[in-house]
Amino acid sequence: VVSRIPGLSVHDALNTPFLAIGTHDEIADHLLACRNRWGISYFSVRDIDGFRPGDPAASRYVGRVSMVRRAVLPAGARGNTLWKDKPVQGRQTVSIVAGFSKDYSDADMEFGRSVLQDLGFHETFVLTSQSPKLVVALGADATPEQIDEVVVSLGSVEHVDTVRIAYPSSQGDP
Amino acid sequence: MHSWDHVVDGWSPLTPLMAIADCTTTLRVCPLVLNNDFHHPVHLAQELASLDHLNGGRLEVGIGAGHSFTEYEAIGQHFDPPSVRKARLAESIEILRRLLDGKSVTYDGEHYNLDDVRTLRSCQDHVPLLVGVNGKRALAHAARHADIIGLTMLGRTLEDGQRHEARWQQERPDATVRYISEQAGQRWKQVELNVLVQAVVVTDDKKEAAQ
Repeated sequence: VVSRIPGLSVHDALNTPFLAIGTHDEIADHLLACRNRWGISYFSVRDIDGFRPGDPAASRYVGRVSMVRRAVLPAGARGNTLWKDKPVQGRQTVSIVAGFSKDYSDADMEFGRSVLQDLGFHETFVLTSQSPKLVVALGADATPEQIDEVVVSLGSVEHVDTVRIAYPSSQGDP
Repeated sequence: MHSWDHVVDGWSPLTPLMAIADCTTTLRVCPLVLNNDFHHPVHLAQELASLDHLNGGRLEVGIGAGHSFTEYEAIGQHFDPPSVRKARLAESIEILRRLLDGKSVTYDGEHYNLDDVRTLRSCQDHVPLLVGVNGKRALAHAARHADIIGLTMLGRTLEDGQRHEARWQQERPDATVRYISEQAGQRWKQVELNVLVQAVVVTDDKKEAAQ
């Protein structure tokens, strides 16, 4: 990366919000760090190498992070109210990911996972950065083509940032 | 889902977004970004409001000042200096905002003159405007008018008309974000910051991948 961008150091490349390099965990931490430092809450991504339709990894980590948006939960809402009312059906499958703040207990996390499994998301994995905890759930039953977007919620109960990870379109590289 | 706006042998910026919206239910769509110089704001507002109605209010509008001088040359369009393109964009943003909000617009600007123009109001109460700009004056205007500011931290467009200098030293956004927040004043809490991540590399060895 650095060799293609004049004047950029390795340290810059790993910390600039305009690149995302690392494991899934490291990229999640990087996005959080960008949000915390600069307030950036909406990431548009051109492409993700190696995540194409049919790629085995794509069923775990779907394509393109197209949006990170702010959402505000009603006062007193728990994480589960975020996805409780979202229909999950057929082609409209939207993988909803519950967000848990550091205040949630392991039991809350487990409860969230169990509900997600009831919704058909059998494969869940937890990205635990220092805080907040993130639960990312992707539908193992859903093929990548069926997934419109994956919503990852970050942050505290009062202010939840929503990361939508949408599958790349077949129209090339907009 | 995003589209783009370039003179290329490829998709146009808006029609594909409608097709994508048609086969999805919640996905929001956003041209990232429209070249203001390629569209008159009145025609654009009408097109955008129509799109917003047809997709049930899932449109976001990304717009920028235009940069790819090779495309201007290819179609015989004058490529103005950055200050002029950005000033024209600023006027266009004000016009788009008011037309999309359903207001009648009379505008006496340097670049646009409108006399009591009204076009279709958007489906959403407030279509988010994403403004992709750099430079102090343009960022100050965006801080006062945009819902979302798209940062690329890209500098001069290089000889091929597509690639740019990258100004990604990691401390640089500090000053930019501080400046935007100062200019936005009371609006700062409602302004969203967007970045265009140019590359995502999933790897177990990030230091090596960053080389």
